[in-house]
Amino acid sequence: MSARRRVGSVLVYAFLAAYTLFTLVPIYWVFVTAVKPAEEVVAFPPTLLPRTLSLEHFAFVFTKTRLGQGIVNSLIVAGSTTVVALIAASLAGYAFSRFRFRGRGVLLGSVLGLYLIPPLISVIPLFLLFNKLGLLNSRVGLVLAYQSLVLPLLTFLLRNYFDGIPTEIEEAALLDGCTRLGVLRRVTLPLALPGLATAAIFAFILAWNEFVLALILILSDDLKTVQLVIMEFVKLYRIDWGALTAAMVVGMAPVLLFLIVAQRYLLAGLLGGATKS
Amino acid sequence: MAHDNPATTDAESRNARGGLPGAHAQRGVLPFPVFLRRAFGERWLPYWLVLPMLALLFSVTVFPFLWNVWVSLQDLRSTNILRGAPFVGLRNYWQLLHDPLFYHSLKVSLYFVVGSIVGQFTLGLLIALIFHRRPGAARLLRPVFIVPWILSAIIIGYSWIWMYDYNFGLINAGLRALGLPPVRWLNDVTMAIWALVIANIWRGTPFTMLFLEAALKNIPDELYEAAQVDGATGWQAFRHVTLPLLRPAVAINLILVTMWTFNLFDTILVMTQGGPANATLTTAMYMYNNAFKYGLFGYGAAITLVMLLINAALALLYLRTVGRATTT
Repeated sequence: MSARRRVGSVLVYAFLAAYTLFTLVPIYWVFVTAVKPAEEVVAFPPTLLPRTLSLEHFAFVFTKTRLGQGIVNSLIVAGSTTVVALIAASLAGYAFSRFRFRGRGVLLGSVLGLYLIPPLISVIPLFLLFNKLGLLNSRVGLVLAYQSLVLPLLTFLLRNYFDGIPTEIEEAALLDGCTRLGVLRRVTLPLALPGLATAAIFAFILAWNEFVLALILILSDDLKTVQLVIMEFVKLYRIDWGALTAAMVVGMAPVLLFLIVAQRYLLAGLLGGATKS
Repeated sequence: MAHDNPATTDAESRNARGGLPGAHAQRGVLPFPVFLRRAFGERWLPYWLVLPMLALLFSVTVFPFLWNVWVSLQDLRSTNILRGAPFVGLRNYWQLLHDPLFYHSLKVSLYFVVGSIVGQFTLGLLIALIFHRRPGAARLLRPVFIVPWILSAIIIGYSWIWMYDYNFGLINAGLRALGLPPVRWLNDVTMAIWALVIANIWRGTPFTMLFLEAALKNIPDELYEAAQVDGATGWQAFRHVTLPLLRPAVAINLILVTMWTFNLFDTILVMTQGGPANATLTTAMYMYNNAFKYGLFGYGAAITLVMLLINAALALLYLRTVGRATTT
């Protein structure tokens, strides 16, 4: 029995090791290419470990390309998307959690339905609509369009979070003469801070990573987000893999940073949106 | 929704009706007209609170969706977008039903969805089960395993293009080292779809893993203790306790992932754009190409609505499964 157990353990750890390799190798290959000097990037056969380290590609992408501008654009768009979504979703999440009002079930169901229906459906009409309204090729338009990606998810996430906060404290504040909105601002929101952090991180990452809507709605070079700038490397320079991988490292840095410093919130968000309905 | 807790509903509904005395008694700053005070009173407050969210969602999803139906009834192209397009009734749909490429794309989508799900589900379930039994390994590896799930489609797409590169890619380097012939992964008519499936398994497995791990945590420990008392072996406990209780979560997971995979086209757009020779032209990709490559917005809109029907069927299945899961 114990020998069989040990064989089982070995198999389990071999499997975990293999899957870790599968997960990390493509990312490793990007990172390692980014720090190879240009001639080693196209050395044949490719070198698993760089013979010499070089930051030339990073210097190139930050000085000779629009990557810096792209980062600024992405920060503006993802930051605004997060703020707008957080305000709208926390108000709605609070209402869904604390009030039993007529139409509540139908509204909640529709929001869940919108979460299930793919944003793909609205890509064509959004393009046509924004074209009519003059919102094509503008950051405001992109931030509005991104609400379709983040709002249903955030509303559910925050409603679930508010559900977990006991109502007694709020009732005490109400009895003390606070208004409903005063209670929300002074009592509930501070208690919901971890939930709000989860929601904010999630919205930011979704908006930072998005590229299909940006590709369709953004036309001019100076408004391109990071993801679109990375795409440009392929068209402009054929494929300069050294520069492209360096830009990719920069593009995924914020997301990986969130994973390292705010893992708990990130995991809560990944699960909160999908498991509770 | 299922969460209505009878213990709290009573107090809450009292609040909702403004039953608590003094709630706004001290707010008599200005003598509001009565109707305004009523409009901003407790009774209407929840509606005001959900209004910004609903207004945003209406303008960027519901309204565009309704307009999409209208667009699908027109012969709207990039060339007549300014002049106004002719109304053609159901011609786009009729044309779609006689479009061999559309049926081809459904077949490619089927390969893509089935391949992705078989891989993601098998791996995701295995890892979830291991993590559930070994919390130490889970704490260490979970953050590593979810990395692909949080990267952007652009990063994922180019990472795998680089992995699959004929000359400098790591996969072909491995094949050459083993004395095997290199493969033109993304340029090969038979290999390309499976190359995309592998990349998609890489990307999507973490979701299934997290989802099933959460479901496993919800199975009460007492059941396992009871099974042990009854003399069940590890396998028997898995077979008769874990599997039956996991079934609703598995169903929900499979339906969600099926929908997402069917609608997915961001990584395909980055990696192959449907090529070579339409070998990776999924239905979602075909929609994108029609609308934004050929400028046939009306035809593209018709494809999205047919896709929506397929999604709606899957969503109904989802809601019924969730309903069954919460009532039993």
